[in-house]
Amino acid sequence: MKKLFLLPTLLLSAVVLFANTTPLKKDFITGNPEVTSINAMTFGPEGILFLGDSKSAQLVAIDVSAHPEADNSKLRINNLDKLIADMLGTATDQIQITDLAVNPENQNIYLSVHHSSGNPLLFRVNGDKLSPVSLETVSYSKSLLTEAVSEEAKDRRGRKLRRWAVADMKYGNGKLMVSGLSNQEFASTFRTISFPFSDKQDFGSLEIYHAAHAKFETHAPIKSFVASEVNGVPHLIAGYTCTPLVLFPMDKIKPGTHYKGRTVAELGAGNTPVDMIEVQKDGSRYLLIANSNRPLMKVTFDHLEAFSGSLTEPVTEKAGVAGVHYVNLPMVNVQQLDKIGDGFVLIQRESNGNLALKLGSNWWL
Amino acid sequence: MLQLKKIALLYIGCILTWVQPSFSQTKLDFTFTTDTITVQKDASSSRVPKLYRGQITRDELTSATAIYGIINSTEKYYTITPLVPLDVNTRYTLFYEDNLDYFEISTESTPGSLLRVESIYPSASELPENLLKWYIKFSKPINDTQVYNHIHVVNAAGDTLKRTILPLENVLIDSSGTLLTLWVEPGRQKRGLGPNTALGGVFNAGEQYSLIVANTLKDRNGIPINAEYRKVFKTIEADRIKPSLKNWNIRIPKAHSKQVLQILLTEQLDFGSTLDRFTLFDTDGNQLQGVWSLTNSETQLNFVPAQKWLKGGYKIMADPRIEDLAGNNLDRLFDNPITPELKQKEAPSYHLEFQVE
Repeated sequence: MKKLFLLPTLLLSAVVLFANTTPLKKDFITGNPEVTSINAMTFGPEGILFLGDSKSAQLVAIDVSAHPEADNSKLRINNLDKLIADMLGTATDQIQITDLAVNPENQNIYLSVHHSSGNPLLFRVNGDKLSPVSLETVSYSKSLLTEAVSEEAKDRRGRKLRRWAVADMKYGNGKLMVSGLSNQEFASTFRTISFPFSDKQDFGSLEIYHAAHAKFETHAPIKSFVASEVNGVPHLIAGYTCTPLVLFPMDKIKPGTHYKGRTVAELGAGNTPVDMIEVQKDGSRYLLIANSNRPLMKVTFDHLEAFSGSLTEPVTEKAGVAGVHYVNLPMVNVQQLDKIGDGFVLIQRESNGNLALKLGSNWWL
Repeated sequence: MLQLKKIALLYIGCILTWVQPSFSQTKLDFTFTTDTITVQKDASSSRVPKLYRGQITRDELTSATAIYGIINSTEKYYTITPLVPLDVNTRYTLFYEDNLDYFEISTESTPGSLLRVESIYPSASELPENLLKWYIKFSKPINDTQVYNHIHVVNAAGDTLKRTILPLENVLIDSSGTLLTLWVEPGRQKRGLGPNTALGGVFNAGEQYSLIVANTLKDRNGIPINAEYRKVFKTIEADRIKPSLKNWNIRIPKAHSKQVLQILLTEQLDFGSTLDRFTLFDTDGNQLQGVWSLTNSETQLNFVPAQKWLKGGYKIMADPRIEDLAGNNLDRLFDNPITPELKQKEAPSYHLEFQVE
């Protein structure tokens, strides 16, 4: 008798499972992806949110397309860190907001938070409130971060030492692009991973010619980046610590190859780009760069595309700038940044100490 | 009535304390741990209990943010499970059916149970001025959310130096939460980069410094480290020479023994980039199983075989990415001058061979 009841149940489950399946989500399963940290986030299409999990050395895609659309049209949350700490029952020095990502399909905003207990947390913004997103039962797919050089023949005990912290992630043209830094070498490995995930991960070795760095080669890790077209050609626009802006044609980033990028701007030493996005207004494209020690910068793509040179001479003036023209916007201490609709959303430590989650006006574009 | 007023929690050495409210007429009937709060239901009510951080007064209730928790309901009890464990030494407020009650999880840790630094790499007391990394091994998982606020470098005069450790948005810590990697700011240690040009290297040869882990660092339960940790070291001239296997000497073990294979490196190697990057093969190409370790201030590499040595030839393969303390690997220097010759070189194979008799 049990079988008679079981069969319709299985059929019903199959219908439910396949009802939401698209080619991109064909490998998704429902369960707990066992995320142990969220270092970076980015959205793909169809409400797929990618999580960079350094502690478990994995990239996780979760389906959040079923989340209802929130009304964030008048978004402004003051004392965001205090709100999160209060919700968790902890203190602000026990938490760290690790990233912010906006679903381009419905403009829902997500925040990832790391707590001192080691628990990673994901929140969805809903007006002036935050809703925790449970990762215990979600529709997901994931891929382990493999080594650039095969380590199969290595001593397994020693492998535990290796960590790789995801610095930035972006999705484009069916691929997830990931930059980061290892605890073993100061390398410039840049990963491109096909999605839906397969076992194959491509690693490109990228080199820059630092304008303030005339004599020695630099294999620094990319801190923040955007994938976009420059003069009609797909490019990686990469930001490095202190703070060259470098272009790499996408077709030059190939497995096992080493390519030197073209430095198009020096945005000042003593600074790190913390987030970088592309926004559009009235048919023009703009690059917005949030910085650790400089205001929010705006680079017009028209200027970027018109700049054909490559900075090869050191910038001698301390904290001096060179290359593509840019504008400092009147927004300092921007800690997180993402595109929302035609504008942008940011987390900013304001001059009075308030940590605010708010919309950025595209009047400035 | 509250049955459980004090419960010893052996695993973190804590005492759970119920605090007598000064004005409440009726105490709530509840129990608590760091992970859950269980409240006896009032059968006549459909409202659920709320939990707050801090000692919240009745007047403050409307403006306070309740702790988010998963609430399970049974016939007699509500169980609240917050998203993260409750902090120790912190007052919490429970509000249910117009009653307020307070509780606290206070520490009574024994000295031996406190967080401490177990080891630090490099372990030597003399280090090159272009040192690139530290690895700190803690006795238990640390609170890694604001870790750079608790670690700094001072000079011999006791002045704290600025821009010595590279603050990463995502801390490099292992999956156990106990091994922390710190990068000495590479932009200052690499010649010719902007920070190096503007500020110079982080250290100067011939001077004494201390790497300090402040006593404000806490473990994951919010309990501070046992004491400030201080690693005193003197810097010597910069290391701008690649590690070379030609300078290494092997102490060959005897056949039919499980003697330790010892490789005297003649210089200090980087702890994190070394241990998992040696492999040992016999003449048939079979990989030997065993355990690698670094000793003598990371100047000696050891291999303890799982099986007894057999007579015959062996080959130690070294990964080109093995680094010394200054980030120079077997292939190239950390701040290599750009030369045409460098580009044309093919990566050689790095190996040592020996014969067991």
